[in-house]
Amino acid sequence: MLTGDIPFDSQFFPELASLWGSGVMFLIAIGFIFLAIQKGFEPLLLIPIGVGIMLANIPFSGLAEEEGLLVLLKHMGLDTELFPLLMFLGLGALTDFTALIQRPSMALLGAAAQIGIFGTLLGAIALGFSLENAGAIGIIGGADGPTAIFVSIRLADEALLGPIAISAYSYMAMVPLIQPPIMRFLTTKKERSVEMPYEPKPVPKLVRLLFPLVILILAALIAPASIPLIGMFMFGNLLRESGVVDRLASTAQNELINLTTILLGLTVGGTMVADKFLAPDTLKIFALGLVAFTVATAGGVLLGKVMYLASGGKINPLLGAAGVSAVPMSARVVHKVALEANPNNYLIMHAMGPNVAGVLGSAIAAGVILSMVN
Amino acid sequence: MGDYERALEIAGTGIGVVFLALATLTLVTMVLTRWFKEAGPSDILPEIKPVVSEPVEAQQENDPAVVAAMIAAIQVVRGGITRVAKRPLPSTTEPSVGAWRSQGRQALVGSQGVPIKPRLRWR
Repeated sequence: MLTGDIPFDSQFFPELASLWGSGVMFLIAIGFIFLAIQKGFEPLLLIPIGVGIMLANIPFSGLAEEEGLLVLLKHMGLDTELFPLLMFLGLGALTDFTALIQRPSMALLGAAAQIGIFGTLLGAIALGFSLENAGAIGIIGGADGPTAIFVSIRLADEALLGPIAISAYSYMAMVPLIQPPIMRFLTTKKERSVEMPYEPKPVPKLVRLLFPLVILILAALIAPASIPLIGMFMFGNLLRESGVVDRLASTAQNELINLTTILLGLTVGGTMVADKFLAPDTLKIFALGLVAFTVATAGGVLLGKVMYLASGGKINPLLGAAGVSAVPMSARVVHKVALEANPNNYLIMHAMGPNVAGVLGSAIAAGVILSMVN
Repeated sequence: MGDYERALEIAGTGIGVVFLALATLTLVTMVLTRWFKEAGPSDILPEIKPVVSEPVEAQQENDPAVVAAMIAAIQVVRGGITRVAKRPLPSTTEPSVGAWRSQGRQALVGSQGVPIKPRLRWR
């Protein structure tokens, strides 16, 4: 019955026993691919991850074993931290800081939302994770996939990389479901209805050029461990803003980030083999991920309320929820919830400020965790 | 020191550092924006205006004098201003009716996109 290349030896029966695990992983992979195609949940990531999970869990294929393609990709792209850093380069080239430069005080909302990271760190310790693993799990609260992967590579056990990455990207996709109830719970209709007319101010070109350099210098002085992330991000942004290297900026925004997304997704999916993924820790990580997003949203909205009071009711507290750096998803959610409360309220441009500040905040928080945990 | 105390220390420091970094960024950005705004508009990205190639006749149509000349020309063609010629001219420096008619015709021809050439004397 069992012939051909199947290794019929003493190791075969334990492998046969673990086939149920592969079956479950196949179902999870199909679930991701279904969610991506049918529901549009982070399709750019979930399709490569889903396929990576499938390939890694095909018995006897050797793809997830030493010398296999997925392990080779992991050595080249994850162990060297190359893939998440290249993602940051592309993200920097895609990011427009205009909204933040026009209203710099919104950066504080991006800082407040990082409370989710540190709240989850404490929660992970309470659930019995080691400090290193807790630090990596906490970064899920930054709502930033590449940052979560970067920190996990450095701090977490290998088995936790997949669950942390999946948790981060899954909850990012579910921001439109997670955030609105928290936003409505923490604000009154009067607060949500605050109109903030958008008056675009011209941004001097020199400020656009100096902005990434200023961030780089600040990060170097305050949280040097965040420099790999911030440095690549600002390099990408400088390509975009310089205006003299359109070809490089275009490559970073398109080909580079697309290629890296494919390889990163496939590789992360490839780390999710049944015997590592199907463990109680995975469920705990998913629960903590939900806590992370909830605390991050609440932290942002609460500081938004403080700014609402301090400004005499001129700042809509919902903007705080955009500090969760799921760009531009959380900004869109803020806009939508504000529009429900007041049909004349268009907050999208205001929300982009705290949104991009959240990316910087989560990278700096990652730097702090890396330096203090290590 | 247990993991929990260490985590509390990291959380406290982390929140402080993130706020410090982004508050500093806020201040620096405000200073930069104000400084370069005062430096003058030369640093501001020039506003790109779309190049519109307006036809010459459209500009001529907006000129009230040309419109008046066209109306005059049409009336001349229809013979509607024959009585004007019978009026005494206020000054000897005023152009004759023939000159008005000529100007009106030229304007009308010009409005149709045909280049206006100086009229040659009839031989």
